[in-house]
Amino acid sequence: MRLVLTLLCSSLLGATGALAQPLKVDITEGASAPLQISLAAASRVNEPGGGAPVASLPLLEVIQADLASTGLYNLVRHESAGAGELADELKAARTRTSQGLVWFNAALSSADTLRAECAYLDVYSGAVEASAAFSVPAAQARRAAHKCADLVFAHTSGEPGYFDTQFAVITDSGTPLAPQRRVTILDSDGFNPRYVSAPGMLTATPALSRDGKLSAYIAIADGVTKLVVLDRTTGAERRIEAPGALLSMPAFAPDGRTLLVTMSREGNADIVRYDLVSGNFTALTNAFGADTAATFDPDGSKIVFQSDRSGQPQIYVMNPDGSDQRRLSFGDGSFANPAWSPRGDRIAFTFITDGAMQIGTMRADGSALRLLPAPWQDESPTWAASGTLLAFTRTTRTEAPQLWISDLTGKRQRRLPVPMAATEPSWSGLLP
Amino acid sequence: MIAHSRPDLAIPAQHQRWKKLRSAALHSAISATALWLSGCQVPGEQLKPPPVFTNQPLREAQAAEAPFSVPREPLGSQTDTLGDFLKFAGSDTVTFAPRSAELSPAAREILVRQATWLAARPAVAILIEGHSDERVSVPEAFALSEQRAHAVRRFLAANGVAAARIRLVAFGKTKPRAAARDEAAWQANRRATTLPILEPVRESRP
Repeated sequence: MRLVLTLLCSSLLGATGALAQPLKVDITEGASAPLQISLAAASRVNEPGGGAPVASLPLLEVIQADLASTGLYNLVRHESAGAGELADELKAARTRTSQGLVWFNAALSSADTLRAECAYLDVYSGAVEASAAFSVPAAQARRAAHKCADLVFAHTSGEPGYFDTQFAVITDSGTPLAPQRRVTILDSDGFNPRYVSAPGMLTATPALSRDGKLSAYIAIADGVTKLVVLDRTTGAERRIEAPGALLSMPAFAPDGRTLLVTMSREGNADIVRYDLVSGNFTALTNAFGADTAATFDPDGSKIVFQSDRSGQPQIYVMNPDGSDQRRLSFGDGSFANPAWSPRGDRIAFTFITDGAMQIGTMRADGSALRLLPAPWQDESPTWAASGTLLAFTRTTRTEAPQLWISDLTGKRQRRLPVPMAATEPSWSGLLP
Repeated sequence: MIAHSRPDLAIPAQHQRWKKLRSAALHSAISATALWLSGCQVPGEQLKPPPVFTNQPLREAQAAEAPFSVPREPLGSQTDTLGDFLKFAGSDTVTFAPRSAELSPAAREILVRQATWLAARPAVAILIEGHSDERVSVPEAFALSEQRAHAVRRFLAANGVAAARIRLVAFGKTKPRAAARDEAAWQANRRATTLPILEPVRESRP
């Protein structure tokens, strides 16, 4: 008996002796998985003033699609019919092992205004980590969903959002030989098309101001070419004709008060600035050759444009008054459509060799060129508000042109689901 | 006075005959040379005109083209149609090399005939459309199509068509004439078209 006890004691001592050594943990690899988020909408109206309930589930689908497009999340949408209480949704989220919960509540606060509340909660603690309330016109209900997606994305990824933005594009509902081109506004997800030009004119080169309130484009009808500037808030349109010259490629300054536009006269194309207040044209370039496709940097302190004054089209930069014109690109091929990132760090462009077109970017000093692989012709790049994505026109040998969005490495690319041919996107900033 | 004759140097008769022969030969040589020289000149042939260089790059040919002689045709009937224009000129369209707005010799031939028809109808307004193929970027397409339309207008103006009658429009690559994605289609799309703006055609009287 004493022998057994002694053996037991010594084995215990040995065991505790082993436990007394410090614990050593080797971390050799990480296991990264997308963040799993549940999405749920309130189905009861919580407005104190009573407001009419809005079908929140379709808006929840918009939030889900926006977040899914980033590739960073696993998304689980709760289709609870009749429940819609926050406590129940948190419990359901825990059951599905989500880490976060998006709680969305939208109601009409007046006949034409939608009020939405969006909150992002940590599932395990139930704490609200980020929340905001938005008021949008009722006709633009989808914007409330995009704003909620921006909130969740910015909080969970640390990067600025870009979902509550719009495109101005040319959609073509005709055929290549009988085009029916109209200027169309799209949400950032490619849905909700709205025409802003009348049928019967041939339209081209659309531009959208940073706040989305102004749109400009070229319209050709009956042999007459006009630059049209539309105030989307009031619906007022200004049609501008330059005597003895043809206008193309408008682009708004960041403050929306001036337009850069290309004026072609007697075989020579130059950059001019059009003042929206005074209606005056001021010539910025006067070189021999085609100077065109001018756009501003995000501060409005520099202009980048393409010029073929040295042979093939190359990228140049200049001051807003046209002084100090310097060449930025020196590659073997031609460079077109320069567009400055909203972060100010990079310039995107179309790179053309022998008819094959690729989107590329370079640093704002012209160095560090990076080209995105293209199946045949990718052109007309425009930046997302975050400076992390590019939208552009993609044409293949067998299909009509379509709009695509790509990250800066070219690894994540997706097509915008526009049900007809679409070209020449111009991407706004985050809408106020 | 010093006498030059030296009686001791009597000139023999042979020498005298040699002297006569020599002077006769000299005289005949001089007259033969004169005759021969006068035969060198070929009277009446003028110099050929200097060659005209037609392959100058567009940017250097700023001066008006050498005007061709435009035969003055009698003013046509009042029922001109686009069909008449096409039949007379052969084509309403000229095509261009890639990325170029230079008129080829074949294009100039067509445009001379267009100019003839248009110059004989000074009241008709004209629209010139410029286009490009899809192998250039959008901004380049618009600049290039304006250059092409302008090149046609300048040529017509140098051949008797008042420039004030002509309006330009540039379509870039938005209105192709051929939709295939091959070189034949792109060649057809790199074009400038001349459109006389005619009144609606009335029925011609028999």
